[in-house]
Amino acid sequence: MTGRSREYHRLPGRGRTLAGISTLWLGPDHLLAVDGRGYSENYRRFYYRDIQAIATVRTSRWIAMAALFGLAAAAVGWGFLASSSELRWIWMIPGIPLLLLFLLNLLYGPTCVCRITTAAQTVPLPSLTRAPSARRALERIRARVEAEQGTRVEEAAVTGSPEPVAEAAPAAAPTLSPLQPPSLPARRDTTRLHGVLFWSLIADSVLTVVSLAVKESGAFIAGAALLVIEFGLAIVAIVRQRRTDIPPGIRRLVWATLAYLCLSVALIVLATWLAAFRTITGPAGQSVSTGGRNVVLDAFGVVAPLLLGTSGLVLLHRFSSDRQEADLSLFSRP
Amino acid sequence: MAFSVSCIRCEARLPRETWNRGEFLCTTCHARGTALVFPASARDLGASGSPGAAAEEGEASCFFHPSNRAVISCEACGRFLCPICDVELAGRHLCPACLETFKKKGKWTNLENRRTLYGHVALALAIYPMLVFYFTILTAPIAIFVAIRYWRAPLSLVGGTRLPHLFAILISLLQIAGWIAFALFFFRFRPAHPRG
Repeated sequence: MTGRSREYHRLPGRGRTLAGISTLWLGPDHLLAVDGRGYSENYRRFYYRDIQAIATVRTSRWIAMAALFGLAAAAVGWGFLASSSELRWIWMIPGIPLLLLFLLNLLYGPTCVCRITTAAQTVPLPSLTRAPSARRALERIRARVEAEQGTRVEEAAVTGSPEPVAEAAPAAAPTLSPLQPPSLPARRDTTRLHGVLFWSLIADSVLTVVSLAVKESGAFIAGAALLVIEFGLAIVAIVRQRRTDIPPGIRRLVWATLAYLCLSVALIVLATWLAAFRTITGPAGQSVSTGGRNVVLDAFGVVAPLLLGTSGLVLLHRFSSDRQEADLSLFSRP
Repeated sequence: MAFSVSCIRCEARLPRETWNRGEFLCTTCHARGTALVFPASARDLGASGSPGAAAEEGEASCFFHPSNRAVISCEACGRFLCPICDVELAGRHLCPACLETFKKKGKWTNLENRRTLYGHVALALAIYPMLVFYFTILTAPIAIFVAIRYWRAPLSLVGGTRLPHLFAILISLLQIAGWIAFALFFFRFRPAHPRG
């Protein structure tokens, strides 16, 4: 019975619903969609010779998920940082899974929905839910379908000839272009939000210096609140900068800011875990302070946001002056 | 009717220029997507499902449609078939009656559209009742029965092992052993009733 599985090769992508998990498999002459229902599996077959089209479209679900998990993780992180109790590591119980979910969601990439069309039906493919994995899966499906049907799709579709494939010479046939992103029409962005984000990074750096100097819990709490705000700003900036005229340098810097924020939270969590571990394994009755400072971490907390913030502001300034020049030249043109 | 592909989000027809050109931006809803269109799109239902020519005198006719000329015979029963009745599946040509028979008997995996995973059923019977542990006195034997009774039942079409069966049996045996130990302990060390 297990020998049967060799006929099928698993395609990337996995769709999770309340009912179960959906997967897609390449068979010898058909595509098999498997809908797992816990105690049973339902199968749907799409023969390569019958597949007419496969369409995908990106959705914004991943942004909503990133915002949800990111804000929840940041809120838990804020609670963790604001707490002065030695039991504050309890915050990490919900915090670490939330942070992992947030990072995994970013790692998997944009969400999408996919639909397959045959002569008889058009049905969704629930296993292809992420654009990168859908792209990989579609490349493999396309290779199989082309091997079965040929590649001369445009002429066949235009003329509507019933047998467009049989005579198609694979060498002479125009090959289908790879799934590359197109050049998109850019939307004009004010970049105000990006400015606020970069200024908040500089404020973060200054606040870290202040909290190191005065060692007051008020500065510490303000730093934690700022971290939450920065998380929110970074996520909104990433969402807003899509399909805009913002140059790639600034976009990458926003992503780097998000990576810095995630790394900061991860480092704080790690440091507290270590401190808690020392408290547990240390001599009985001796309380090890969890608030012990680390020079490297402190330097990272000061330098990284300062670098990100200043370089972001410089890039923004250059970008806005370039844009102003371009606008002026446009208006001064006879 | 000409073939068309529509945007999944707004259902607007996608222009032909967006087909097989990588990612596109829907002109209506501005959603980003891809549209792969294959040569089968040019083949309409009429081409494959046409009744074919009418049978003339002396020609073989379809078993199910005597007025239609037969073009092929069923590989299972040998009946002559017209293009309407010819069902091609995995390289074999069958008549609808044989197809139905194969499906009912489950002899052809290519026709299966559902399978029960008995290993998972047995494992669930072994594990979930442990939340309310005293249910296991009933469910452990049932889990063992299901695991053994359906040991030879087909696994998932895309692979799978009998490990769930095995785990279900092991866990259920442990539960039964636990109940036996509890019963022995209870009857051996039962506190004596105080005598009046």
